[in-house]
Amino acid sequence: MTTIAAGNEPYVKQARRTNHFVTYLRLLLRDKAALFGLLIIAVVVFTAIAAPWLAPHNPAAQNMASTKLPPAWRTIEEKSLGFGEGNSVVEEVTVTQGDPSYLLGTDKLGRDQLSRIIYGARVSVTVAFFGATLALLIGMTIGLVAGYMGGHVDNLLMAVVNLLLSVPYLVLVIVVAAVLGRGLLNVVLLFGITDAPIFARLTRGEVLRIRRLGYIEAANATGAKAPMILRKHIVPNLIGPLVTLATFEMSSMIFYEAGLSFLGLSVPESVPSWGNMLSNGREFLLTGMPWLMIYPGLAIALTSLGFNLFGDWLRDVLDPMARTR
Amino acid sequence: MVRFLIQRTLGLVVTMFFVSIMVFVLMELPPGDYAERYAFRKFSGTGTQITEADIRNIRAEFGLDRPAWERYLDWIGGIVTRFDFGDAFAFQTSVNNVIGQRIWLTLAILFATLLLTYLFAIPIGIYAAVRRNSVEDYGLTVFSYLGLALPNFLLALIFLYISVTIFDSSVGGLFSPDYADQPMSWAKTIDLLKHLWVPALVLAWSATAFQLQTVRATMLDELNKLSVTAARARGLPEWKLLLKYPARLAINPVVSTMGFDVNRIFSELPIVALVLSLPELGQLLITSYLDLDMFVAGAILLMLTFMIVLMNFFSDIMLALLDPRVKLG
Repeated sequence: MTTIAAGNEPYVKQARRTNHFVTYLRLLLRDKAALFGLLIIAVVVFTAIAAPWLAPHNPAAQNMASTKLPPAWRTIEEKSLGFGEGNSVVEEVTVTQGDPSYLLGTDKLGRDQLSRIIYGARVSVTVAFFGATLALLIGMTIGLVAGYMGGHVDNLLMAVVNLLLSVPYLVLVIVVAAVLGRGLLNVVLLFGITDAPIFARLTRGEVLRIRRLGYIEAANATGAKAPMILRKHIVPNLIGPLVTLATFEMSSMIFYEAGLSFLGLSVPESVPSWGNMLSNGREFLLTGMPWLMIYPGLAIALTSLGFNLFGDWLRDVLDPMARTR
Repeated sequence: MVRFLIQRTLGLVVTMFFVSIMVFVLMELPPGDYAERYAFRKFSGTGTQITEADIRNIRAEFGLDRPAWERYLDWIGGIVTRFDFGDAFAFQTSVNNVIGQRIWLTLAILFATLLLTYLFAIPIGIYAAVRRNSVEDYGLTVFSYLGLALPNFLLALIFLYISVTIFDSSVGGLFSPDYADQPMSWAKTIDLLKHLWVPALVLAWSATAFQLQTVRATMLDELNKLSVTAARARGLPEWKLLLKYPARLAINPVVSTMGFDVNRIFSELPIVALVLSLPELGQLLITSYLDLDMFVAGAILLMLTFMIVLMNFFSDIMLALLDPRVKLG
């Protein structure tokens, strides 16, 4: 017996010394898709922070001398009817060549598209990160109270949450947008409030599940108080599923922010955001200037892909049971 | 089963009662009311000063001056007894007239989308799970990610762009110009179907991408169960045992999230509809809500929510029918 215990000891010590961060890093390096997702997120966040240094132009600067330029590598021919000699009608061809200093072209006010996309990352990152964090905090608090208190408090809170979840999400967003008005802070608040019910329901379900586990019973038996049990045993086990959900919600918040711009309910039109760029470019899509929508659209799709890829990996790593639930 | 049905129906009625209260609260939530908007619109530019008394008169005329509970009872009473959703102030007619046709078009898009989603997601999800780690499976996973990463409205724009630049026809709207103003007829229904597939496909795209993964994951879990091994040992043909055990259970998570699907479709429809210029309820809800034309907004809100609650009700019943392990009551 003693030899086995002695033989096992080094392994036990080694296991205890293993850094969680290193374990996760090793798992991440093994999964190429997740790594790619994280890379996209990192690039977008870096772009958002370093926007003033990365952008070649001021995103708000209008240059009326060079409006509606195509991307630098493209040349477009625009045919229009004009008057030739002796009032004869002739076809005039205007050739517009892309300007290398405006890499992705310009919009109808001559604003640099690339710079606007770079600055637009700020709106998307802010909305996604703070919106999801706020929703997580509000939802977790409601879910913890409901799940841990049980009884009437639980019934009442969950009735409200389920009621809110049966209203179309966009409708909730619009109601809150109508009450709050436009502005970046309001968009963050808006997503924080409207997304909280999803987090609340997840938290409550997890709390109910964890409470039934043996170690909570053991903690109760040793006389641990409720705040202590919540902090030491329940909340740490919630982090995995909640962070995973938040990652996916960030992706959908980026969608909905752009969608709200279409409806004129997101940040003011003068603010460079991917949603506003799409919304402004829409009228030019069918008049031969699709690039006004392609690049901001690509930015949204890629960012969202990043969050989805990374979120899937997080779910597998932090919450291995999720798929079967 | 009968007791279960009665219980769920009662539950549906109770839920709708609370939903109606919540909708009314949402109607009351934004600051101001339509009387102020109306007064501003009527008198702006005429040089007349609007007085408090004017607004009070308009408010009384619209019946907006009474206490909230009285207006709630009036509103819900009209809906329950006469199916009358009140007045659409901005349209100067009844709400029923304004939303009449839009309801059917919204429902048509909704059901077409749900049908497409389940027709694609269930068989393809089962197929992907059976051929796990094959080229097809990886291809479908890539498709899923594309579906989740591409916003619906962008997909709608891509459809629009391709149809205009390559096929030289617009996919927008729900009717061809020839049929737009005609009464409903057989030919018009055919015309509707020709337009309906575009928004339905656009909306079904992401829903399919999502449900596909759910079906695949459930299927993978079920394929490892002993019942499958036992059936194989008995010499049951592979396709028969697939349908008999795992496929039957792989449908359950899809059925149980039907209400959630409806919720998501209703949330994405207004923006897609804006791009494709479809006359549906969501956009009308947004404009009338922002315009404080609250009876129109309230009616639409009530209907959309009712559809979601109803879908949850049906999914509960279907789940109980499909899976005998579900506890009734």
